Amino acid sequence: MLFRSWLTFSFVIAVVQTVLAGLSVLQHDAIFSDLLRQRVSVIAQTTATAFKPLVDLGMPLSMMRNGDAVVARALDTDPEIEFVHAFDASGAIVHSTMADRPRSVPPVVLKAMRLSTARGWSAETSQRLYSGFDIKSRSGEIGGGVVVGYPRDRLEEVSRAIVRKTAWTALAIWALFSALAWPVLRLLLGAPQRALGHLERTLLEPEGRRDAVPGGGGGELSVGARGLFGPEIERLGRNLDEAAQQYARAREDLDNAAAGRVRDGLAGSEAGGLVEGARVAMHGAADPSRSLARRVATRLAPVAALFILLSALLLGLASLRDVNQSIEPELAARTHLIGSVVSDNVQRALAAGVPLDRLVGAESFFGDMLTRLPEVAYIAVATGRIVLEAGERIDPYLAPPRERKDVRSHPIMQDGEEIAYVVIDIDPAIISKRFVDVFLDMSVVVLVSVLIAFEIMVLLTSRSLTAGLDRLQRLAAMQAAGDFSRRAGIAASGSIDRMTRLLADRAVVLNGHFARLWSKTRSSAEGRAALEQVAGRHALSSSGATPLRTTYFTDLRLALFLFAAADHLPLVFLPLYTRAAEAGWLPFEQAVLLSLPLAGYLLAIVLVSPLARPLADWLGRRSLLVLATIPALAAQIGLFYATSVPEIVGWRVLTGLGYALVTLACQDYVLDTVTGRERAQAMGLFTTVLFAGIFSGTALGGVLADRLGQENVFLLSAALVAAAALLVARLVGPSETGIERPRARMRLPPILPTLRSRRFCVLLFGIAIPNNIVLQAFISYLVTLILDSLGASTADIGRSVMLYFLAVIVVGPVAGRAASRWLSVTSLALLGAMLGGSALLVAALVPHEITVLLAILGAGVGDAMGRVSLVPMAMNVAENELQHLGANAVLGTLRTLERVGSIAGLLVVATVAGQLGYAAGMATVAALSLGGAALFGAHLAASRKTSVAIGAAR
Amino acid sequence: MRGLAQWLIAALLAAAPAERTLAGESLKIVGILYRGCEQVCQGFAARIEESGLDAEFVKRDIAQDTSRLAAIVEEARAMEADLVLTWGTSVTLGVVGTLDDAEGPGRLSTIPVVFTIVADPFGTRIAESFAGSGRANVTGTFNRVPEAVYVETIRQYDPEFDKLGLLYNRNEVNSVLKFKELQKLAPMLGIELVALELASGDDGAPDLADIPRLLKKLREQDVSWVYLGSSSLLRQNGEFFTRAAVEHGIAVLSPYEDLVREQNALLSVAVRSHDLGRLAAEQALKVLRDGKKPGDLPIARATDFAYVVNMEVAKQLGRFPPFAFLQIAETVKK
Repeated sequence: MLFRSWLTFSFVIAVVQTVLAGLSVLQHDAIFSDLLRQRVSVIAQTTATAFKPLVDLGMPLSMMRNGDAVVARALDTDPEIEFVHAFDASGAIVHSTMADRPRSVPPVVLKAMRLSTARGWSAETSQRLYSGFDIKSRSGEIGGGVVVGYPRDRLEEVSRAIVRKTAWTALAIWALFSALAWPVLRLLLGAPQRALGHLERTLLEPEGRRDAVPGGGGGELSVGARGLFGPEIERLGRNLDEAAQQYARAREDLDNAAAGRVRDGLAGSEAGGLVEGARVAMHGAADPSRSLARRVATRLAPVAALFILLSALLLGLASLRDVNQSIEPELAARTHLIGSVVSDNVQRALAAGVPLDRLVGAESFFGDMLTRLPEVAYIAVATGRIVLEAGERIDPYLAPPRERKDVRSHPIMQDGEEIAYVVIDIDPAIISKRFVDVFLDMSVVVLVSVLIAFEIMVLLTSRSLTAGLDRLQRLAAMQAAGDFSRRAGIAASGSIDRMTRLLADRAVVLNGHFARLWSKTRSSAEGRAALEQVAGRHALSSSGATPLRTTYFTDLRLALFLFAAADHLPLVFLPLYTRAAEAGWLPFEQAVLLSLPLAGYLLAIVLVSPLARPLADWLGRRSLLVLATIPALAAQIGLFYATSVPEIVGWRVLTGLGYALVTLACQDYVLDTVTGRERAQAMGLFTTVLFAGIFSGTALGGVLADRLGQENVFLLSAALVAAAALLVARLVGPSETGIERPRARMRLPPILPTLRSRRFCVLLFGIAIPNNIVLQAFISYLVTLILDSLGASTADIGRSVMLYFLAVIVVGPVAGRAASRWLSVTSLALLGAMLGGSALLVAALVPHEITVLLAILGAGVGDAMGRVSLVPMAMNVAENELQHLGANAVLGTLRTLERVGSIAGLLVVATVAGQLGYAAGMATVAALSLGGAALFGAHLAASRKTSVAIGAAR
Repeated sequence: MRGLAQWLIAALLAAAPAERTLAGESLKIVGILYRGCEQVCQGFAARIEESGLDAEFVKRDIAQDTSRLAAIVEEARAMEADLVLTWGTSVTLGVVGTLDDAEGPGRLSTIPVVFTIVADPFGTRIAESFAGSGRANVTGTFNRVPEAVYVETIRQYDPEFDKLGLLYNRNEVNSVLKFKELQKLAPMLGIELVALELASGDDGAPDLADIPRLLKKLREQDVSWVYLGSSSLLRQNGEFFTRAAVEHGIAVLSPYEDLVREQNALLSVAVRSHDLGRLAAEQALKVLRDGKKPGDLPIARATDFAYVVNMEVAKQLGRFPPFAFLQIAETVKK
């Protein structure tokens, strides 16, 4: 037990370190590549700016005689630059630094330019990074662009260094925690292990000697009994002892029956009563609160969580330090670049004959450049006094010093003499924000790694320890109550398994013995009656013992987690992936086209949900689970190959189908594995695991798309779905409740009857549908497009969208507590809707990265408040006005209608966004949310007035 | 019928140089020039020589006297010229006429003609469109940017600019055409056009002495930029005109680079004259060497334009180019 647990701990810490190390490296590469691309884009921008006057005049770029010389200047700013091309709107290269100028820019560049709504854009291939900038005329017409090719060497070199550092650190942390795990586990499990060993020895001892041990315990057992799991082990010991006695009694009974003797005091009615008692005992053993397995799991889980968290935090901190160290030179290079660009440009003007104090328009020229590098707050050219300046000074000063805050000063030379120098102010707040961003990125990665590791730990602990223990307990309890009907086929590799096998063997032996006697006494009715009595008493059967089936949610939760993560990996980049695809035959404008994959996915969920239960009854939960992963897997592979929007929509419909079937079958399976009392808790656990998967998928999807390429993320999703299917096929047994349920039939939700209830309608249109529209139209659709248009990378988008799910996870329980203590659920729902709506409205009015982030957060908090209140409010309606329909039907209808409403809302928002822009789309979501809140609030006020009036009348 | 005749002419044209080459004789190219063999003419000659084509380039200068054209056209016919290069709008109109009087007496309608330095070949009806001249024996080059570009260029240089001065010469078709075009464009471009006509002297020819007076008048009307337009006269007297402009505090925008590089215009948006001559030679080579029919060739557009700023003039005028402009402009200090 101890060794196996240690192995599990060690393995899981290795997993957390591996996953975290891998993700840290990816995150580092994403950050570094982003910084590098931003820097190179400044070079592209300054070059593109030079061509702008030409495009403003409506002249083709090719008409510029000194175009080659203009693009070649970029090489002076950074010798690592591979090439610079200026190209026209069709992609034909018109000026280049390459001697053998290619005819056109690579398709990847044109695609990046076409897809970008910002003026600067970038792309990455296995050979190089491309950073480009549009050359747009005053009227907004694109005359072409400038693209700078930068070799990946620098990125790869830095990446290799970070891989080495991270790998060594991870290895050291693994060794440390693995070593630490041994004494901790020994402390925790040593005593119970010794006690179990003692139990085993006792069990295997010849019966005569065993009787000498008083109470089946004493000696070493008492050590265990005094330990952490004392009462449970004591009970197991008693059960094992009792089981042994029952075994002896059963054998004796069988022998007596065969010999025509009836044991004293054994009467038919008593026999039945004992079997009944046995059943009670069996359920008693399965009672989770008294189960040793559950107790061990509850003890191990926090220790495991602590180990996982600490080891992850340690590596996270080390990686944070390494990443910050790694990006520091790049940040310095950016500052150096801007200094070089300023001094080169000013020198060029001076060389042309313009006096330093007559440089016209330089401020706005540099001001444009500043917007690309936010950490550079201020640029000035000084001779001792400031000659020209752009941006805002961080510290006002009288005389500009040559060197400020370790920033290199760039001299401006004329005729071999230095006549001025460049002053650059770096905004420390922006630099620290950059580091805070890195910290947040790393925190996300740590959090996701911990979640993944925890799920693996739960599964492994269950498989290696608690499930075996639980089986032993169940068998022992059954046999202690005289029930020998079950056996368990397992390999005996530890004391627990050996004991289980011994018990199972006893059941097999007894049933076999009974079967032989049964066939022998075929002719004697009396003999058979005696045997029947014994069989009844000890639950024996002539067909032998049946296998003991154990089903645990833990067998399923890793699969569920992986499936949810796989499903949500593409969430943040799906609109961008769709935008890059051909429109195909769909006659919609782009904004609507981009919403169709999401709408198709939701529609599939709506249509398939009523089918899930009948299908599960027909095929079995396990088979449905495995089968439902097939369309999900096919859909992810299909999405990898999809090139047109209709294909993407089709595959997304299939994804929705798979998702609906898998999650609903999982939910039913979970409900089947627990008894009534534990259902609410099990459902809570199910939702937690599902959300953890969704959260991890969303958070990682962005960074994975950024580093691996969007289409490859679908392959990763496919691999995760396949892994989930394998886990289900290997680990999950057929569910068994012992409780017969009527076969479910496909029933359409009672839409019309529910809609007749005014309260239901207010709930649906005031809270449920607006909340769903916020999730589907804002979080899953608009956020990606808005942040992309503001120049955010997919990694940034993923991190931002994740905030929503984080808010839901964190605020949900708090809101729940608030609802039970200080606030009514109705007030909570109203506040939530108002909060979400207002946050969205602010972002719609002032679209900025910060306001959008706040809107995401507001939407998450608002949704959490709405979620907590929605079910109690719906239950209230279901228990009063719609009592005749039943709570399940009312809740089911609410779910269906809110999804249908969110599809309609999504399409409306997409149409508005297409016609009037993303801000208008966001305003529409805000209006729907606030409108819903107003409707809900008005209804609330009216009903309060009525109840007051009724109260007064009474 | 007309189509057939054009086809026959074209077939003859295509066959003629080949016959001459077979006979071992040099091809004859006659260049009809307006004011001597300047950079365009030199560029043309250089490119023909480089090409290795066995051709003799015969230069005939009318010295701005269009009355000499008839005799030169006759001479070209007599020497059985294989191709004629025409320099400027006046010369080209004198040699090939417009699309409406192409067959008139004294017009070359069979010998291939390549025109160059024609400010507006379509407005003057020398050619039909960029796709082709619309005549079997004529092709040419185009070396200007749209007039709006010149106006926008000034605006980029000087965001305050709102009044454009122009001096035009009623004796030159192209000059008058340009005046009318700008008159129409000005309101659309949001500027006021102040156009003054050069007075004629006693001989009916424009009086150069009138230039400073007109410039003074422009200055009095707050005009700070004057556009050279399309006057061969002003171009020919560029030194006098641009110097006078600077003296009156007026900047000259020229569609010809040499006025900035060698004289006192402040700014030009133009191709190099030498490059334009080479482009005309390319058109000639397509006809003479490749056997292409002139009428089938599109009008060749000059590329490689550049902004050229005369920094000395900028200094004198106290109007230095803006910073962004300097990043792409070529500057000269003369």
